[in-house]
Amino acid sequence: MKKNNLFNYIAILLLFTFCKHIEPVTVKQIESKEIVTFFVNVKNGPDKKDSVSITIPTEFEITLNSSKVRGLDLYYFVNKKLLVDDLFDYQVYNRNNKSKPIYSFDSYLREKSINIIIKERNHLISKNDANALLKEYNIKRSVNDLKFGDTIKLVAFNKLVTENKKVFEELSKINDSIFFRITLNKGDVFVKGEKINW
Amino acid sequence: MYAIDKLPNGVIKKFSMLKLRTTTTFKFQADINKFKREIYTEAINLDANRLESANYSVEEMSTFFKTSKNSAQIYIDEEILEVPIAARGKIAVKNFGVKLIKFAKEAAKVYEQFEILKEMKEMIPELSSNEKFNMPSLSTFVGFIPQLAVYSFGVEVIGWMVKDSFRESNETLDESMWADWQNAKARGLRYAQDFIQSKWAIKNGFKYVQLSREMINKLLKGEIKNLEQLKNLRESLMSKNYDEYQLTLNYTAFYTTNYNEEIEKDIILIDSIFINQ
Repeated sequence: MKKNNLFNYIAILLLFTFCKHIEPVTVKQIESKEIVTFFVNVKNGPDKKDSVSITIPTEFEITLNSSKVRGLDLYYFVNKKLLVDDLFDYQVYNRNNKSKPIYSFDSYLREKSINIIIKERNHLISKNDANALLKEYNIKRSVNDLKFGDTIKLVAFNKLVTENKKVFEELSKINDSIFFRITLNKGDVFVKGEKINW
Repeated sequence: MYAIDKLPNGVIKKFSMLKLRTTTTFKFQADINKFKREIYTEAINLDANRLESANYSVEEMSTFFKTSKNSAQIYIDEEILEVPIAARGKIAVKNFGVKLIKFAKEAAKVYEQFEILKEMKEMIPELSSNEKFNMPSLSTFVGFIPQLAVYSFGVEVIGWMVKDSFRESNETLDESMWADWQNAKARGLRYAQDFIQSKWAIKNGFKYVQLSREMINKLLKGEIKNLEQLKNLRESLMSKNYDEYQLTLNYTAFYTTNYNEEIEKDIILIDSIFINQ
């Protein structure tokens, strides 16, 4: 009786396993060499006067495994909240052409893969911590003098994440995730979620 | 979705919410079918804030079943969603568990009796409106099934899920969520913004964008043909004068992404435009 039950469990499990199929699009996060920057935006209002915004670039390799992909869009969540403004809250660039943000992936759907850089502009860092980092990397500027519209370049993301893990420890407490919405021919929709690793 | 606004005796009633709750006993399939059409309904009129009851007859009523100790006795607990239709001033309601009756019938072929627990609703992925898209676990499957029937039941369940019924259950979810979306919009901008945070909303390509009067004008005149053009305009306005741009964003437009088979690509449909408060 027990053997029969075991067989039954396995049979059901196998049926579920075989239901899975190859994903039309795969996404892989790559340790970016893009520069981390500090800037001031409206989020640095009077109540946040001790903080400054930090742009953290993340890079993803999107591989299109199927010729049936007809649409691609991404949804960026910070702390389970959808960022809606892809100019103000975050910006998406093609790694090979960073002159202008990507507002539509339509022209990339025939590519085999595309590397995108996402510059998330929604995180804050204390001015003291920011100045300490500038000092450490021998950059003779201070975020205290930063004006609206200015940016200060710090160092490449991959270097910072290796040498100053503590910067990201605080950020890791906030769950950033990204969802890719893929439309296939005939209108089938496939959603793929990725947690962003700092 | 079907509107309920007229009782069998001809009296027109505007229901804000309906809830069915009853227990009955029957022996034959014919009785079940009859029961499906003749249901004792408790109606709570939220407008008048009182409980109203009426015998009520519905052609396509379906529900899901839970056995009590006596397997011939079935407890029914059905909730119906409220969907205000402002233009007509009526209330339409839809039954959330529409397709589960089909499952009950399929399972009955195996059991020769109904023995479906309420947990069944939680087991069927994407049928729950609580945003928990849980696949059924093996332990859930076997937890309430008589040992001898595990295999046949499992095959029946999986077969049912992956065939047409699974598609239908998605459609049921879609109908339900679209109804929720209408309600969210009726409640206001913040509710609408909260609603589109869900995975279901992502799947249906929900997003919103903040607009100025200039952007809306161009949009409505057809001068902007696609989302990319809209975002380019936004970028140019923002770069001209950032502060002014921020102050003019008085509108929020919600849109969905829909696949167009003729041109074989996604198109953006503007669902609604809110005036920010």
